[in-house]
Amino acid sequence: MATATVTRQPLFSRPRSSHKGVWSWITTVDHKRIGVLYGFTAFAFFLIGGFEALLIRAQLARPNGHVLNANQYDQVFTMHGLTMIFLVVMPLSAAFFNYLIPLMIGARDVAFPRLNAFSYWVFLFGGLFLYSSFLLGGAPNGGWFGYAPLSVQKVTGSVPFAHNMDYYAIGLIILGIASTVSAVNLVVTIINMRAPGMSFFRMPVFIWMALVVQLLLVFALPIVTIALFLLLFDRILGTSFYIASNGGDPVLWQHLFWLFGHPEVYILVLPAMGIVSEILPTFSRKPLFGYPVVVLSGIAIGFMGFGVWAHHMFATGLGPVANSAFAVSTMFIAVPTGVKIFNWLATMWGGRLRFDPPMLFAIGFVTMFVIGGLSGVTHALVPHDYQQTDTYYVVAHFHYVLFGGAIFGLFGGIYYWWPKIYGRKLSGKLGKWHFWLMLIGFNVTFGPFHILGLQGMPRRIYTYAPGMGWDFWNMVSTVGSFMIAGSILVFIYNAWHSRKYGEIAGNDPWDARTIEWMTSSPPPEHNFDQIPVVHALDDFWHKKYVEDKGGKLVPVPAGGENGHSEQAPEHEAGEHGGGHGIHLPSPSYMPILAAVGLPLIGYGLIYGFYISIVGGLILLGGLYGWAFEPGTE
Amino acid sequence: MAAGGTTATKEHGHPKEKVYVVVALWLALITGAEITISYIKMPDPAKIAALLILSIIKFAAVVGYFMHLKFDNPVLRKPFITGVILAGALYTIVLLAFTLHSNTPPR
Amino acid sequence: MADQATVAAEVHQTSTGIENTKLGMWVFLGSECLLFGALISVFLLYRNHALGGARLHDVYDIPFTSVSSFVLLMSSLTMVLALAAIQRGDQHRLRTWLLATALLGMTFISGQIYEFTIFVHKGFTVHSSVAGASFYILTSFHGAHVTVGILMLLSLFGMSTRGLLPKERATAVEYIGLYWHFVDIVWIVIFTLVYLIPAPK
Repeated sequence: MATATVTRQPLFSRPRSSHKGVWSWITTVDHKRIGVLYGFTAFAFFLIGGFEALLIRAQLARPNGHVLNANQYDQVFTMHGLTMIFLVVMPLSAAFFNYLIPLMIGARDVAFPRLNAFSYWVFLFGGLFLYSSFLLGGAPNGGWFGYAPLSVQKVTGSVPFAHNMDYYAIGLIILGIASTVSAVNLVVTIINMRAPGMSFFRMPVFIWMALVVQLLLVFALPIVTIALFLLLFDRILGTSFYIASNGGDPVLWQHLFWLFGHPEVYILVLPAMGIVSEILPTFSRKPLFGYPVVVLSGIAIGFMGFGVWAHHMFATGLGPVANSAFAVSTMFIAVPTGVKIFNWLATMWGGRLRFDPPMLFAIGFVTMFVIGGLSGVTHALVPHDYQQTDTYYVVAHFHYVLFGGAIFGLFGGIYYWWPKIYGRKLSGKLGKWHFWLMLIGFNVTFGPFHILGLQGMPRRIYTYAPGMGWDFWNMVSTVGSFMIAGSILVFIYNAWHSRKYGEIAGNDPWDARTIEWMTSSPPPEHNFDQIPVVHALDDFWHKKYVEDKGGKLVPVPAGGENGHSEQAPEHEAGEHGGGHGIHLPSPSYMPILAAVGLPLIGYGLIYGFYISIVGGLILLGGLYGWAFEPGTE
Repeated sequence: MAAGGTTATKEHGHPKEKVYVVVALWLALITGAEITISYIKMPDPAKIAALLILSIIKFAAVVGYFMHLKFDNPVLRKPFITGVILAGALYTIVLLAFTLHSNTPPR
Repeated sequence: MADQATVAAEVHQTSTGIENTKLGMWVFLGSECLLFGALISVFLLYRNHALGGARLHDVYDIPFTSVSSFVLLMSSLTMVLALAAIQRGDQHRLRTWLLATALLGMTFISGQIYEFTIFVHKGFTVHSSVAGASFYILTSFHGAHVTVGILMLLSLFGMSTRGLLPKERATAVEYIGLYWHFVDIVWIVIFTLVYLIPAPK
């Protein structure tokens, strides 16, 4: 891939830089705008996935429910899972990564701005591709982990050649491409684009967790990509990789899927851990307790995450040796996770806590994640797992870590960085309403799942007979799910309201510690007028405060609140004054053009090869245009 | 073969290219050895071990010399070597798990 | 080293001194290891699952595959020679070696297509068994990578003829070279694990 900066003979011209209108968003390569696009798209999918969740809960509220039939229910719960994992938590984390990584490491943009735009468009089209299945005959219906041989089945109900799981396989391959490309981009950004003085152990914990997550993506996604290709070949070429009667083995799917699937769990939760590790120190007015330990345990979680996959497969019959080995490794991975919990507690211990919404969500994350983590440890016991597997107990567990964990952490991040992105704070009062409604609704919804699971209610059933003893708790859970929906409405109103009436934030509304708060809110297109020079961990904090002899914090007398003036002598001020003359990459049509090719190739695999050829040519054309368009200006 | 021969005569005098040609000659020799071993009658474990070692040497030679990793910034080694080791370890365990799996009597 | 100096002059400063694209390429190649690792292990798992039909070891022709493996191996040599040529500023040699590399790659692909045809005639097909399917999926993924490499080499060749590939842009050749060598080492592993190692009875 030639990264072209061809100065002579430009074959293609690039769109002019502008800051208004739809085209400026379509052609943008600015990491902040791409981050915002990721955020809004993921939130839209969050609403859709939430609506699916409400449908599920409405169906299960009472025995013999009639909201959905079995076929519709299969599609809705599968799409709920796929949406929340691949179209909400991952891209919402990507929104934070895109927006914040360059700001927090003191860079002007990511390493490959056009590749960044390409990742976003591929993600968007991958999501739309997946959802187009609803209109084209039926959505994926084999559960989010698509176990073979069910996923290889072509017959759905009365339809002899249903494409439901084709959309699953192709959709996830496309989304995997988006994530891989963005992961490579962000790994390079973090390793290569740090501001002067920003050594690895001066990086904020969020950046560390981002790095670990990107590496997990880089190494885990190719595995599932192959698993999905084999599934696709079983479906469209008639091979038998997963069909036991023809010499294949469905357990192969399980191994390949969970080799990816378990690192994926950490891909989902580590970003939230990073966010919380930024919020807690700020609102406790103390440095993070044991920074190196938090970082190293994050790395340990990442690597150990590759060694525990078979605990998803205890009931498969791997035999006592494999089961015991993976039970032990699973219990071990709880250690670095527990270490982090204690670090967060120790950070808050003795701090001057302020309970603004970001802090509330961060504490919500810690407490709910502990509950989910504990039920997780119970799965590590193989005999116990035999009892729980495929029941609502497991559903309770992963909603506590992924909703109580990831989503709470991400909402904390939204409240925390919203003023940086828009220059106005979200209302703290509405934020508290949002938090408490969501926390209570969450526990009312998912707490009962523990009981239902231990009473034996299986996952994925579309209805149940009365008199199983499940009626009451199912109704409670449904009530809770509508409370969560209410809390989201409060959040949406809050966001809308803040556009005009939000408190003007200023550069540093929370008295924070990391360098993204040194620049203006919202940041200029070039992020920093002068690239900051970093002298310490929590550099911005040390620019604002010093300790007196008694160890008390004293503000730095002059220019402390905004750090800029202090920077000036360190850098050649004249050259960068006011942001003019800073070289930024020009917008480009090529990322979106190339990205359009991928879903077309996907449709072609289902409906006829000629569509694939068109898609392939578009992709190729986009990439060539990309390589040969002029570099900047 | 032809490519290797012409290079040696054309590019004499340039030390770096000489190194490349020498490495390529070694690669060719090792490949010859591999094919010979594959035809020799010997116990399977010994044969497999010999072939694996030779292919690891070839792998390392291409990565180290042609891809320049031996002389490049060590930062570049980390992601690649992590990938190689991770792939080797994970897939070995998976294949091992299948062996264990088939030895387990059906429950 | 002279070439390092020119590279350093061209790139903007990075924290590690490594050019972004180069680091990105290595991270990507690390990722590709797991992709091909998965395919190779699927083959190793299924190589005997032939349902009584042909296995790879019943149909293959080691001398033939050895030659095509050797061709691909030597294309790595021509690739580094192309890089050495552009770093010296020798456009003529650059084009010669780029074209040689692409041609060796095409020879390899043709050999693969020929081999596939023979196998299919002997009853070893995608549909004969998972042993067949896993072999064809593995080798065609590799073949697709070689084909992408050939396209990139020909693009470089085209750029060079139009004067778009001056000495200062030697890194483009270097990075595409990295990809090309990677495809070669994957084949080194495939050749040993898939062809040479005896299959269990």
